[in-house]
Amino acid sequence: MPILVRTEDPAFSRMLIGRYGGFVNECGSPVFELDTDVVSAGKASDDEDDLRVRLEGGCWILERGDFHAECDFKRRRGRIRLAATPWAIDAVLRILHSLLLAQQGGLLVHAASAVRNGSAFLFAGISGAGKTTISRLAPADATLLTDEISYVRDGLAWGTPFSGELAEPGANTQAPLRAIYLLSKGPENRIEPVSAAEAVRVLLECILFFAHDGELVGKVFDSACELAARVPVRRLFFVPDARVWDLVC
Amino acid sequence: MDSLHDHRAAVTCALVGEAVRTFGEIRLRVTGISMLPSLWPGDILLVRRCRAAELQPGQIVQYMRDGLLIAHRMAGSEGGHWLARGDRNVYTDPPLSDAQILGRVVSIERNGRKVDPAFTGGRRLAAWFLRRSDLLARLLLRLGMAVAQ
Repeated sequence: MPILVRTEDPAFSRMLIGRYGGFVNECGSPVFELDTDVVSAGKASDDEDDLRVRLEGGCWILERGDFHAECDFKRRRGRIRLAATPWAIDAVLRILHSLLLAQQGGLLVHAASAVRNGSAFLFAGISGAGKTTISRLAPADATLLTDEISYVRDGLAWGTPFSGELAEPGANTQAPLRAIYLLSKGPENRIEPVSAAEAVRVLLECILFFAHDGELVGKVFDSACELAARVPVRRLFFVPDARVWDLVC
Repeated sequence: MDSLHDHRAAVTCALVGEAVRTFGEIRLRVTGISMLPSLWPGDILLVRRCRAAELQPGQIVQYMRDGLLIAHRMAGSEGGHWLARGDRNVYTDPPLSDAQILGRVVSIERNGRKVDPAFTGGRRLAAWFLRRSDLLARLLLRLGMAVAQ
């Protein structure tokens, strides 16, 4: 879902191009347009506790110490006032994508993902679960979609520019999602089945969604149930050893 | 689509069960009309975890069956199983095992007000009539919804 970001600030523009690499392009039909007012002031923050996402008069208001955005989903346009930091624009784009995706049955998931042999595999887990570790262990023939935030829609996993400790955007490509692994560090590499309820519960923990909106929360729950019904979900215990990839795909 | 619906229902039941076991209570919204006039669609039930043996006839029990969450009134026990029935239903539900029972409805919230879950004489009488007339139930439902709005 391409989002057009307009800025008159050359330094901010350079930062966007540098940060989002292969995801920046000339798109004639964006699904959303954002005008930006880059300000030097602003409370530095990347704390999710400080984040507020609410629907007000038909407009989504996204605010944190370092940004304030007003997004009109009917007109598909928004305006952000934000600090000239990568974290501010990163957060706005993640939240915006999570809202747009929720309406279309898609999800942003705290997960690493990669394509191998034409299929995508997703490794979900909260911070510290091993997303970056498993990404670093990926074999040469695997294409990394992200080491931090995966994008899932219509049975496909898509690359995202949202990176974790690897600090590198994923590949701008997509593939059919063949399996989801719930990451757990363990004494050995092994895969265990999980119940449908466990699969959905853990996926819900990993899904990025910040809005307190009953209708959209219901859609996210439905999407998580559908994802767990359509794609095999298993728990992957692993040690930092590249052989884990032979086990998963 | 049916299997997806069934999957969602089963997952919902399992998660609700897990939430009650973990937190001791849960709030659930009523969607059906089998407990009219005691429970109305849209009512919010506070369900508190309890063991089946603690339930008394006349109390409202929240239980799970075939991917459905059901709140019906305890009617007694039979052969080591528990019996429940919707206030408006003619027949009792199939016997319940301990594992199906989530807890007891301890309070009802309707349009922001607390409502006593007890099966009062007035409710018994109304339920008796509603059991015998679907038309009356539909009229009552329409009237109740109009009043709520």
